[in-house]
Amino acid sequence: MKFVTTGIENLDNALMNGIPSGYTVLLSGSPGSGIELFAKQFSSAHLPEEDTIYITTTERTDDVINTMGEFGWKTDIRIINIGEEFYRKFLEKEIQISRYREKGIPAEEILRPYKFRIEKELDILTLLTFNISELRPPFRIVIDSLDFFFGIEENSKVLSTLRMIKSHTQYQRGVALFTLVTTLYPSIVQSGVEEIVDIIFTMENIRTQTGFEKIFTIKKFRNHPEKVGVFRYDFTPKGISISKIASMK
Amino acid sequence: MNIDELKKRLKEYNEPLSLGINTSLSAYIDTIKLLMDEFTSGKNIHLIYISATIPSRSISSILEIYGIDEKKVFYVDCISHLMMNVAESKENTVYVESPTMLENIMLKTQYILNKNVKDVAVVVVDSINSLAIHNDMKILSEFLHLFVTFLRSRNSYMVILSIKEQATQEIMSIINFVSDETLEVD
Amino acid sequence: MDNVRERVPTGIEALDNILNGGVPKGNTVLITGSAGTGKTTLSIEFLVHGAMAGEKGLYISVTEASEKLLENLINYDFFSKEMIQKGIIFIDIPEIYEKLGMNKLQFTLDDINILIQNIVKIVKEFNVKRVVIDSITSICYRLQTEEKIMEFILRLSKALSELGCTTFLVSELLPSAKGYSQYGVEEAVSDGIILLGNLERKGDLLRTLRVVKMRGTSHSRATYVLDITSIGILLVPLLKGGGEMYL
Repeated sequence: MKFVTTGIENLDNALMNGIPSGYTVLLSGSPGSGIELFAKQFSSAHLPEEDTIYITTTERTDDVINTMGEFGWKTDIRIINIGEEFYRKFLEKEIQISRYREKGIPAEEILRPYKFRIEKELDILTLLTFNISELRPPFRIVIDSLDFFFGIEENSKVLSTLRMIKSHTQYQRGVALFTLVTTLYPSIVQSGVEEIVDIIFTMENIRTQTGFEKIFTIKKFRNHPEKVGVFRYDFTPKGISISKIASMK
Repeated sequence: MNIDELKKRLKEYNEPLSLGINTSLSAYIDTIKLLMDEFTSGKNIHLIYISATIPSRSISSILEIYGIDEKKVFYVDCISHLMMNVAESKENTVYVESPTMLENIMLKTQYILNKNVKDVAVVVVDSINSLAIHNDMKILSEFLHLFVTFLRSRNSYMVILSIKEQATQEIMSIINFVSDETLEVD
Repeated sequence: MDNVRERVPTGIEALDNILNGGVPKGNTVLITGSAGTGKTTLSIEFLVHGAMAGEKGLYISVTEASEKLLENLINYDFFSKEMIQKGIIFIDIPEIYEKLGMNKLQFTLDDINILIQNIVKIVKEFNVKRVVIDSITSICYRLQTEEKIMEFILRLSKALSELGCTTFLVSELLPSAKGYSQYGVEEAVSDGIILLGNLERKGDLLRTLRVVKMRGTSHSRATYVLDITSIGILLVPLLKGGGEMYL
């Protein structure tokens, strides 16, 4: 079985050689835990032959590049910004709604059909699967984050799209990483995603009496329960680093 | 009285009233012909014919044979549906599903009056005996009473036909109750 | 007292007679009944007669697209479809929901206020005098609680009444409903109730109408039989057959 690196040496070690090809990984974490930084580090760690796309839903493309540059990571990846276009339209719509709610629908608009109807039908999930189906192996997919899709589409539709991405990844022997902010969703969504993926990482920034304790967990590893474990992580100028928790052993 | 006397009597009526005509079976067709002729040609008013005994098409063909102009005649046919005898719909005919739907007979009459007549008309009920077969007496007398009252409010005539051979005491008392005058025709 | 309040004739002659001249101006009337009893037809005719008299009508369609409704509309002898489209404003409420971002299944109090404000705004801007909401039951479905339904109908009818608007709220009655409305609240807060139904008598099916309540006028509470025709709705009293009950 072939393995690919996560970009974090100690994590590769903990996983006993990195991530197996064909695997799909979920990285979930509380807000501010650094999951989006992990996503960038992971995408940048691709091998030259790995076709890598980074799908961002929350950041501007330049910001992704700049952040990666600050840490000295390779930026030879394709960035697909699904969020930007959508939010532009979405915001326009929201602004109009709040204006109408405040001032009332203007007389001339009342008799006119709804303006955003067609754009609403712009299927963001189809756009996502289209971009992914174009990839030829070996490839590396990063989606930061799933929250966006769950926010605008029905849960069941998002889950079935994820299932499609997972089987494409599995079949073509690529790797995929999804990020998801925990505590935002009903457990049915969380467990739905967890059931699809092969590996689950979580990052938690836990408040203690003396400050914060950053905990990185390998929560699930398909067929290899021995690889599950709890670690400490930290931010360094080179990116995220992982270390064993001595006291907990 | 005979048909000629009936004709004379009808000519004398110059204001709307309700009339009961108890006719023998042998004079029945002649009575219908006379009513049609006398009201539509003689008095030049519209006639709405409620057919509960013979389908409107049969009445219509009788008139045709005798050369009586049907221009001012409308039918409310409440027997053809029951006999499953509704072929093509004619412009001057409105159908009621069954002679038990007495309210609908009034509604359809009202419809014809409002849509086509808008003036004085005579409504001929043919016949009370047929309606009595399908309805109980209480509801039938209530119907005729309401109907007569409604027509009076519109300055219109009502003629209730009865066939002597089928007329019971009860039927006659209803006719007497709702009519201004009852005529016997042989 | 009957002469005190100005009347809005429905244009349905017999109904206006039953109501002693028409619906008292500003009333909110529940037009209630099960499916296929003629509620929409009656309501449209109310608007058509208004339009003929130069009173602007507003038809708010909740369940069916108004375009489809117009297609299936009866061909009146006295008023063409073109005239109807001129004299009556047809609005599909899902459009309004979208424009106001009301895409949640359950409306908040804020949503209710905004919806009322927008209906009132339309009424003001187009100088509408007759309003039909078809159906109120579908709106109630998204209000869910009795308090919210009460709040919505009361506030809407008050606002419309103040503008001199007479309103018909079409109410869908399911066999499960106990009173005259699906949620029970609608009937309590309306100024009037006109009940439409189907009556089976010895195998015959008759369409019926009864004015159950009407504030501001005396009225007959008798049951009438109804016919939908090209010259409009016609009514005659239901024959009682000597006090016998056929229900």
